[in-house]
Amino acid sequence: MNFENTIQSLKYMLFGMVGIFIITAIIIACIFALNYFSNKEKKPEIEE
Amino acid sequence: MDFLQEFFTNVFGNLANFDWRQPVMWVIGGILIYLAIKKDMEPTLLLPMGFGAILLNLPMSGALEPIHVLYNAGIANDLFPLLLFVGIGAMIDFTPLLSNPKLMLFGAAAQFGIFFTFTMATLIPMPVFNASGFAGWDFFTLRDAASIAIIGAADGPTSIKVANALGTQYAGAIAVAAYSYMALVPVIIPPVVKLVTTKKERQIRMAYSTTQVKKSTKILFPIAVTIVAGCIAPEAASLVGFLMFGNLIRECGVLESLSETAQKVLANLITLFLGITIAFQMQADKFVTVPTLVIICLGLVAFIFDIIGGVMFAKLINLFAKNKVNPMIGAAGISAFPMASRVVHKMGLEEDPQNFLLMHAAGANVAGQISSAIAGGLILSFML
Repeated sequence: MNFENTIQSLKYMLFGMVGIFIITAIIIACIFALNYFSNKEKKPEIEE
Repeated sequence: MDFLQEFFTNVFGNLANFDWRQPVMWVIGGILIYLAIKKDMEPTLLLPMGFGAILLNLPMSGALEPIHVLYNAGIANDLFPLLLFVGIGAMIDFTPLLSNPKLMLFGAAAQFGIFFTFTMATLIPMPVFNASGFAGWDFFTLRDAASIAIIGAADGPTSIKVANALGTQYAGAIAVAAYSYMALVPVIIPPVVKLVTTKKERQIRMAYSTTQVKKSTKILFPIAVTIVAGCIAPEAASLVGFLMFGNLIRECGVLESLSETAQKVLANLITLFLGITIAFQMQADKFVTVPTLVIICLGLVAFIFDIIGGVMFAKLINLFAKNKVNPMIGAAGISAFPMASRVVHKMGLEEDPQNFLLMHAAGANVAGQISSAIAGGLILSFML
């Protein structure tokens, strides 16, 4: 059996899944920030 | 007699170059063409691939030379998959994802099948035969295993790009498996989802997000994703970058004609050549082998565990969330855009005619498109 490659692939599975969730979390943070700042753009003032 | 012999040698001499594996490839080509025309399964790719498989497996085929030129020009250097990504990017509307960013998590979770299959591929022994018969067992190398695993990206261009970059000899089988299973998404998703969910879970209704997505967000999103993905996984920069470039053309609002060209002319032109050029990797001596069969099986494993990964993640979220998520949304995170989201929406309607999941499923689906490109980039970063 080729356990050396299997152990290596398990390591990459861990790195891959953790890596993809970290990148995803950063992208989600970016979307929240983009939505926040876009909606904060100057709103028309109500004239009395 | 000499005249007859000379006649047969000159006219039918090429038949002596027949290899028994070539008619096998004609049958495989015929099946791909049948699936494309009769079953409407990814016809834009399966039909050219099927015809290419027949064309290139004629004895001493004169088509090998021009297809080899196309292969070197478009696939060996990743040009075709990347240009196709520009077209796909221009077709995608990220609004459902931008209005509900949490859906991005399902795209990430549904890449589990890739990494699971990576490990599985290293464990499977394959019989090796030589002239005298059975010669022992062999295993896929780490690079081959990674290339096979990327079938789980459920995204043709990513599979082709990664397989080529890793220099695997199984690129043809990987491309065929990737596109065939993408075409079979309506057949694969329902039984797997039903296996890991209860009827009650499938009937969960989800409220629509009322968040308005501004144009500036839509324009800045592809730029932000390119920077984030490119900085962390540099190998993902080309895949994610070309996808996002296409999307920026769509959303900027000043390049209507370019957007339309990318969506229609460019995507169609590249698809036309991509299918027949992939067939270069479907030559009988490389394709009719035991590893091809193993790769086809592992591709299915990758798809199934992608779906399970997405669904189980949704169920995990439901343990803590106040507003429950329909776990079927997780299955839409496997990429295979836009088929996966349509299948999930249809399943939702079958369980409850008033349960409209399309927007949520579409959000998870486009998230899967981004995540699969990132997963491909991560695999390349690890292996190169």
